[in-house]
Amino acid sequence: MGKVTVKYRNKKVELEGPLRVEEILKQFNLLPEYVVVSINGEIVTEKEMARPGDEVLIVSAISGGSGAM
Amino acid sequence: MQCKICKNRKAVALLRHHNLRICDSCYSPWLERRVYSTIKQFKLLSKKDKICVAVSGGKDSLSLWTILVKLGFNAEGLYIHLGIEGGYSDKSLEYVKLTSEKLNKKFYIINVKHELGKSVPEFPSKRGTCSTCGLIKRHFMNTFARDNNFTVLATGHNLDDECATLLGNTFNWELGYLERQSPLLEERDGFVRKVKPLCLCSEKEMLLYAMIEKIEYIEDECPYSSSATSIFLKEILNKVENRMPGTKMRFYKEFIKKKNLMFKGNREELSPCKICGTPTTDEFCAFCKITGALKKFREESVNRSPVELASREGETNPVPEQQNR
Repeated sequence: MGKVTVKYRNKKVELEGPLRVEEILKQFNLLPEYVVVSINGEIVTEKEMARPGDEVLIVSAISGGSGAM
Repeated sequence: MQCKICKNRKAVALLRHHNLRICDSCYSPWLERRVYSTIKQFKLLSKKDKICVAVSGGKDSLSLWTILVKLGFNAEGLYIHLGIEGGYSDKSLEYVKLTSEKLNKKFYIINVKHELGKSVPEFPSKRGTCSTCGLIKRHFMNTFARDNNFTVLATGHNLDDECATLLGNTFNWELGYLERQSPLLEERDGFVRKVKPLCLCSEKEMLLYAMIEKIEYIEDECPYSSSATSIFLKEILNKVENRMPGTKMRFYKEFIKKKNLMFKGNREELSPCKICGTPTTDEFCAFCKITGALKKFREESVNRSPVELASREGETNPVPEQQNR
């Protein structure tokens, strides 16, 4: 057992690993429909397993408002 | 979990609405083919077109520009500098420059503050900043494209954008807006043709494309968009999509297919705005109303002599000289 580091927007959280990406998304109240996740820089599906020591980055696809063209 | 196309590499995405697992090597050609087929399906563009791509520095518009150039279209960029604080607009411009250099394609800049004396957030508005911003952008995009001989204006609206707009307009039964929503708005009365080649690609698909193609884009949210209704509507739609994959695509495609039955012959008549000439359903366009041009016009009208007023209105026989004394 050990920690998985998860980065989302400006937050950085450590979670007990191993755990599946879809579990991480649930903890952040996010859906796979609008995020892309990478583990140690490689894009993965929500079925991938994050292991202790891994760095998980969640990028949200949703944008809107005045900045978008 | 292997890619369903090459059956060799590891999948990087599960696209349930396409029943597809796909790897990073197969992804970009697959998405580019889909954009090309959207262009063909709705007859959006031809290779003869001179395309003006409205680029914001975000993932969608920069990816659209990249895809159009890769597909062999003649596409140049237009960046509208909105003057958003905290370096947001300047940073966005840097990403546009990067893509322009990468593609070896020209882009143009319109600076709202230089043009109107105020940046977008400085305009007082009852409609909210996002709405004012959209209106100002649409005005400049159209006039720029029209005055510089572009045959078409392309924007990076994706499936999620279109579905959020459709849902919002349905909640309010905005029949005029519903009638006008389309991947293609034909050239008409001073409006250049407008196209949305990404309208069948989801927001997630566009993010994946930008990441796989290493397109650098502004990741920060616009500081004014956190409370934008469009984001809230997108979240609702994605909850439905998660439960029922393919809902967003059906919602939009079926609307486009059936809307002609609903709105046959209800098209509003347009005439040129009396100040700037932009086509409008009213005497004066919304752009002139919110930018203060109408107020100025009215103030000047009060001070204008009757002769000037009459000749502006096109009267051949102005006020008799005697009355003018």
